[in-house]
Amino acid sequence: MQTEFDIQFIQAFNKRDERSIEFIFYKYYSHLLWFAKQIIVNHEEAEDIVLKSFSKLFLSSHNFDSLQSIQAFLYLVTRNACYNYLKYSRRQSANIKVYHNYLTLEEDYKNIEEALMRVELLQVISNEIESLPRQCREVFELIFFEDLSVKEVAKRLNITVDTVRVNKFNALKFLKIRLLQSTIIIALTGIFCLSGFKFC
Amino acid sequence: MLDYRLRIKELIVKNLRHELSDAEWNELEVWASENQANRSFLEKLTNEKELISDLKEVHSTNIKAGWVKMQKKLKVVKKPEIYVQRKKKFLVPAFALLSVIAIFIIFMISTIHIPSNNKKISKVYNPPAFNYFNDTVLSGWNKVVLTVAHGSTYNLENIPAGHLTEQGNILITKGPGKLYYKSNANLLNDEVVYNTVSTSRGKQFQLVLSDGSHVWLNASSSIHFPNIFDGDERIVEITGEAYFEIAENRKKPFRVIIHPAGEKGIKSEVVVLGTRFNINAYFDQASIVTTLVEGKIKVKPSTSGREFILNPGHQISYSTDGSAVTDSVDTKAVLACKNGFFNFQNAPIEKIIGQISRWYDVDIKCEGFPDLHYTGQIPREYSLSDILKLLERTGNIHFKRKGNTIIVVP
Repeated sequence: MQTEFDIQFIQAFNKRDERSIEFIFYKYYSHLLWFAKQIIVNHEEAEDIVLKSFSKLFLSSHNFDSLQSIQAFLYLVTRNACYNYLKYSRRQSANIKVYHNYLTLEEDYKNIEEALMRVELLQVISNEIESLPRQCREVFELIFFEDLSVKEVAKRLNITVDTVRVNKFNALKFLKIRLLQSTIIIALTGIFCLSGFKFC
Repeated sequence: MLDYRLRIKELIVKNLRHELSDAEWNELEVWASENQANRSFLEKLTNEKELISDLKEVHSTNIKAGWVKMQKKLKVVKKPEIYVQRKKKFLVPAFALLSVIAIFIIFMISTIHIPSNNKKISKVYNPPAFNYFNDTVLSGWNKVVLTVAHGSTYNLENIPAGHLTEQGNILITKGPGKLYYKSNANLLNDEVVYNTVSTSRGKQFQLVLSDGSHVWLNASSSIHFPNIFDGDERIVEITGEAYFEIAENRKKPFRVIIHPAGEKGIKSEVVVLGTRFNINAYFDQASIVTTLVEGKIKVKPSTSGREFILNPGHQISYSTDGSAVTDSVDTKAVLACKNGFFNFQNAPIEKIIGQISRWYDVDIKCEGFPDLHYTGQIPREYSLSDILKLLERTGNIHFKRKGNTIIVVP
């Protein structure tokens, strides 16, 4: 389902307009980097691979029809680059010792697929967080990503403690509703709620 | 096995997106209850604590640093010709009458340039992209900076007077609050280097370009120009506010390209027919105002639109919606800035506040202001409190101070 923004954005991106390039970079860079680091571990090598993936995207003349297809392209290119990196580094026994712990190629593939699944999940959640109303999102990020207490958040954003609590509740409610649909997962919400209260 | 895991991943992601059908939900549940391995795989992927912890890791990435690296990478790939030319460049200085030190300086500061065997290309205006929207201007910085073709930067206030550097045969000398670009005919010049001088709030600077034109740059402004005007025209780009006294050269018209107020605007231009004029294009104003003191200029509010010819004592204001208004004005206000005064001719309070904010480098908030216009002249040497007291004496306006912010109350 495409919004007006999506349609205009894709048009601009297909022309490789500089601001749309920056938007895509900011949206996907940290997730792709995290993913590559799960496989490759070394920060510089992982970063190199991710920047190359973006280069391939930005310098190609391929026309995309949605953000989703851009995302798919980036993840595919990065995943393949990670495969190739592992294949290549197998030829150098020193690397194998340091990282692979004598894993077989099949096991490497399994790790890559699992890491990919995980990062795609994270991407979905990040997108949900991004769509929260502004103050809600700020509160959520300060509490869960920067480990601030409710009082500290109130001070930082210059709002009352009650406002912080309401925003936190709404953020959790929104994300839970979108994230936790099936009963399998609802069983786990108990853990989520309890750990949530710890921060109050 | 791998294929089915992909299917499960697909289902989990669909679940998160609210797109799971009942049949698919069943499929997921059935798969999960098949064995412990499946159940724990699913749980691993949906363990909220771990997800939050991983999200935290993801969100702690310094994306900005990555973006800087990305831009460098994209520029390098887009312009491979320059790489090749740079290698050739090592040969040319060897034949020039330059000392070893001068060669070293040129090598250090020239990053993008056009060699002599491509002189034809330089006749077409094609400078390295001037990207105004960078961090040095948008974040709170406090200095006057000279940037050389995306390479070295110089903090112009800290540098002592005297010889600064050379770019080909152009000598750059620094005087008090001024920078001179002079051509040294004894030396060969086969490179055009683009420079940018930027001022932050509270600072202004003067430049003498290699053709003898004088430019006074006001606070929060910048000018992008070549060290030597090679080609059929003399072209510079500005943001903010600058006052020009252009040296006459009928063979080479002088053009000023004005960068839009805000990111959505269109670039506009002023073509100079030998004169003195001021351009005011600050971001926080709705329109760009160009005032002519002496001579004649042609103004194009958008580079491909209508043109207006201005006579002395006239001013044109135009905005992004394309509307333009010309008016005759008392040019005192414009000259005053260059001469060290604030001068307001029937100016609304917002304009005054904008100027004060930029000159004194303070934030000003308006909590309602009188719908009055002010006329007067105040030396810029006055302290901030003196100016505010003066304005308060008119009786219709009051200022309060809250930390580093001034608040205006009627």
